[in-house]
Amino acid sequence: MQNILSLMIFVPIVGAIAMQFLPKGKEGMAKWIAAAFTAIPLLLSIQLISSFNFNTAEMQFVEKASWISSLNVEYHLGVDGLSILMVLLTSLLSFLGVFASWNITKMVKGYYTMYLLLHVGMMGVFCSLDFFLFYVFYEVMLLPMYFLVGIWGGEKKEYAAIKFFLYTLAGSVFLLIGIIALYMYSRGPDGAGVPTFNILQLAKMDWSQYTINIFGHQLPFDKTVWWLIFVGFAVKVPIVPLHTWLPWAHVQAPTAVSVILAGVLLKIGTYGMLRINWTILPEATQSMSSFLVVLGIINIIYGAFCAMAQKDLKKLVAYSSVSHMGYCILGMAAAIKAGAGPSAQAAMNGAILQMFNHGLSAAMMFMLVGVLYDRLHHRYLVTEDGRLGFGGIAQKAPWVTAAWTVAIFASLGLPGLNGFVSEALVFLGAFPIYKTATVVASLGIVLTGAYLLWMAQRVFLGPFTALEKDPKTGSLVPAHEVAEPTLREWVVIAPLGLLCLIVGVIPQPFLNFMKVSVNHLLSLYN
Amino acid sequence: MRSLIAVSPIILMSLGSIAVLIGGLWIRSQLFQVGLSLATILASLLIYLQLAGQGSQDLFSGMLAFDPFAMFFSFFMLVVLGVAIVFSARSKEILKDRSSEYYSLLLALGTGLILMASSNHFLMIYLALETVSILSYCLAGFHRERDASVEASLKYVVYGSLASAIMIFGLSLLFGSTGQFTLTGLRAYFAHTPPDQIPAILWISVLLTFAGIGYKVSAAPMHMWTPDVYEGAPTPVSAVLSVAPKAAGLALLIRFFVVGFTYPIEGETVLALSKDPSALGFHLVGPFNWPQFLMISSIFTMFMGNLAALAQTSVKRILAYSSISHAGYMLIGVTTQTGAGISAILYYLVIYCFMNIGAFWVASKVEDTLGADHLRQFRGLARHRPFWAIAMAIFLFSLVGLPPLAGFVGKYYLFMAAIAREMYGLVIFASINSVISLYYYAKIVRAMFLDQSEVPFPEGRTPFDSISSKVSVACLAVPCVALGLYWEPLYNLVQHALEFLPKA
Repeated sequence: MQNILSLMIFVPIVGAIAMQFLPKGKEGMAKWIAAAFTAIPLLLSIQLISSFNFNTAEMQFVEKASWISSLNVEYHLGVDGLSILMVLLTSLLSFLGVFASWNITKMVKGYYTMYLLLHVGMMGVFCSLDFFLFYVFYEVMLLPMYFLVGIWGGEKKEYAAIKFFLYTLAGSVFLLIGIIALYMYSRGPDGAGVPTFNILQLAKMDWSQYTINIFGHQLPFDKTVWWLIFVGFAVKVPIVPLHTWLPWAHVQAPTAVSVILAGVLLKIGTYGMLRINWTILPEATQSMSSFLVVLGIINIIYGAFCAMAQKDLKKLVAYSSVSHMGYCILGMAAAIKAGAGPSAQAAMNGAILQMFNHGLSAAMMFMLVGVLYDRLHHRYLVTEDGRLGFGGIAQKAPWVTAAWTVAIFASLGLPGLNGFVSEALVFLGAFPIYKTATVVASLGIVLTGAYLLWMAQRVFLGPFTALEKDPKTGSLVPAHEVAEPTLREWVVIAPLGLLCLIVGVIPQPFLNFMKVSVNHLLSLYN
Repeated sequence: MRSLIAVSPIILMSLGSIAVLIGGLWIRSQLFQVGLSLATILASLLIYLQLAGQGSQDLFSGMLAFDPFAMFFSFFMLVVLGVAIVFSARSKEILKDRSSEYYSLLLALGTGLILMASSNHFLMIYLALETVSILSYCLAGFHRERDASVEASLKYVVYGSLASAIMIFGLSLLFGSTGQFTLTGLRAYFAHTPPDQIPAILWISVLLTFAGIGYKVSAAPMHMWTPDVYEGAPTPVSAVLSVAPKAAGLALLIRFFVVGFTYPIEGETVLALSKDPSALGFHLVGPFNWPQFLMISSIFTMFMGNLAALAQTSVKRILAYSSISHAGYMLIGVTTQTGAGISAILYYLVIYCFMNIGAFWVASKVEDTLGADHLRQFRGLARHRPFWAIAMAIFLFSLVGLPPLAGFVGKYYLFMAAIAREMYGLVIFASINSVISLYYYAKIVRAMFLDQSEVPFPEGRTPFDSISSKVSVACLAVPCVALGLYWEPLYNLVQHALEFLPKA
């Protein structure tokens, strides 16, 4: 298939348009249309990974056409080992997310239209190789996300939506300045060349020869631009202290959107760093590696402590994302410090696999929070008057508990599940490079275990004391029953759980995807 | 004779203006008045199309310049007026019993605007500016039974006459110290006069002239009149005033500074764009570094507009403050002193016309239907009239500058022009302003989509349901999306308008 990437990106738009023609009273059909039009990219992405060539760091499935010739903007797509797993993750989670939002009844057509547009943006970011195109897709995600959180979210949805929007836009305007600066200087020192947005060409240039002038200060070009771009992506990851939008957006968003936020949007931050900062500006990145390691550790430890303090189950899961993204940063930063060698490779492989793994386990956890919320209509781990919101769920719903257990153990890194593989690789790789830092970071493992197991104890174990929010009075009353997952819920949970297990037991096939590309990336750091 | 042919569209517009006024005495039908006005505009457009591509020439021994740049703005003004006439025809605020005066005033405003964009002579500059101002005062006060409208008009008159008085004083100093009456003459004067013989008093005259033009553009600190006038004037008038005189003011500003005060710099093209004629340097007059002054004015304008907009609850007022901040963005283009910067302004103006008139149009429909234009009235609009809410969302997000909407491309060109001159500080301030502006635009979107309606929505047919309005708003919204996806033809058009720039 020639245009497989374009198809994957734009097929959902067809679905979004088709949806508008649904007759009145048939709005329920929208979810089937959404399911069909997210299934197509999923099938295409399976086709993509099955025909992916492991042995080359070159871009594959490349599509290239001129878009705006006066600016030399191209419609340029391609995937390599860094992005292929993210493409798979995006299409998988988007497809499953349709089923997670099955019981949305408010403005169904609008919801799925936004959902499909969001899909376009996410997929486009992972596939584009032209910086301008990348930025357009990057911003295309914002609007649907604003509406998805703002219209279909929880009780504080408006605040959460605008906070997400403002933070991300603030980050991305700096990204834009960085993009334009790279574009302008890509003409070479004499300014005679043709400026380009091509990410692959930008990566071949030497940026250390330029300086730029900001407010009268002469600053090295590469480091300044590195910061501009880094801030843009750091908001997305999110890196502490730019993370404060995350607990709001994740908690207020409807289940499927939380799944997408945690599963895909956070990865766009780390993916963008790898694709832009790490690839285009290697010298600047290398000089920042110690600083980045510190940021990674702060994310890990701070996120874990915050998670431990939460009284809201969904907020706990949200903060666990902050903590887990710290491992990615740690691995990515340690790898470039060493440059070559097995430990650098292990750290970088671990970081990228961690992106994929966290996508699976966080998505599963948010889904399961949704399962509990649908049954008991609240998310209180501990209620305001100090009672346990849940308690002894295992007594009534062993299958819900089983699914939760898989997610929890995948997240805290139990051997045999996916989290272990990537975290172990990160630590193995980072230890010889940053000894003290890695030891400090490994505290995070303990803390993760602590908050997740403590949460499991309070939610699932002990006598059945779970509370239920009375839809009429809004007060919490003791619950009687907790139903087992329905077939629809299994459709979402089972594939994720299964993948957690598969990656945990046989990680090698997944590592094979990225191996050559990682080596190529690290070769910039010798 | 050649000059007469070149100004024939302006003459035609004046005749049309008189015809609408006199014809309106006998034929009361609004259809006739609208039809005649549109026909006049269309005829002028056609004449301009015939005249296009003749290169640059001076008319009436240097009073007017007739070049691609003037042509671009003439075209732009005529289209804006055409849109405004269609807009007004459906608005309740344009009183039916006086509509012939209204359309006559609009056509006359058109002549002023076109003259303003093509004037080369100081007197012509002043006359054109005054024509536009006086007609704007009348239009702003058109709804004379309404106190707000009268107040708007009065405020406009007071500020406007002060500004033009200041400006003519500046122009007289300019003439007195250089002996030149035209911009091209001024250019020749600078080319032949050694820098140490240029009288220092010139910096005061530049500052004073900028005050007059800046008042039209609503650049801070000459922006005070804007919110009150836009809020009080009938909404179609606010829509025109927020686009057309601002564009004419920018055209004048560009022509005044670029033709009168610049010299081409060799070797400064390192970071200029490939198609760029060349970088331009400004003659510094006296102790006054006024490219720097323009930059500060631009930053100040952006912040004034955006910060003040945050606190507003009237949508028209929000749009008024936003139009101030957009003037600030566009001033970036002048500050860069390059062809790239000027083409970015022209590009931005075209897109700004679509999105701003569109936003005012929706606001006017809300006001016609629900009696006011406050955020309260916008609540729940998406539920009642999704078409209008979606159109408004497109206009507003385009004003923020979010891709893939056209506003982004406009901002992109402006930022790129500034970065090409390494004005990173300016770009950083502008970016911060984009983020601030998101907050108040999103407030309107939030009211429309996220909130429940508070004001009971009238049953049955409302002004929202007029087919012609829907089609017109769609015609404004579609370019906002389409020009964000593919804008090469417009870019080429804008590049063509730049051919008036002095060559190195």
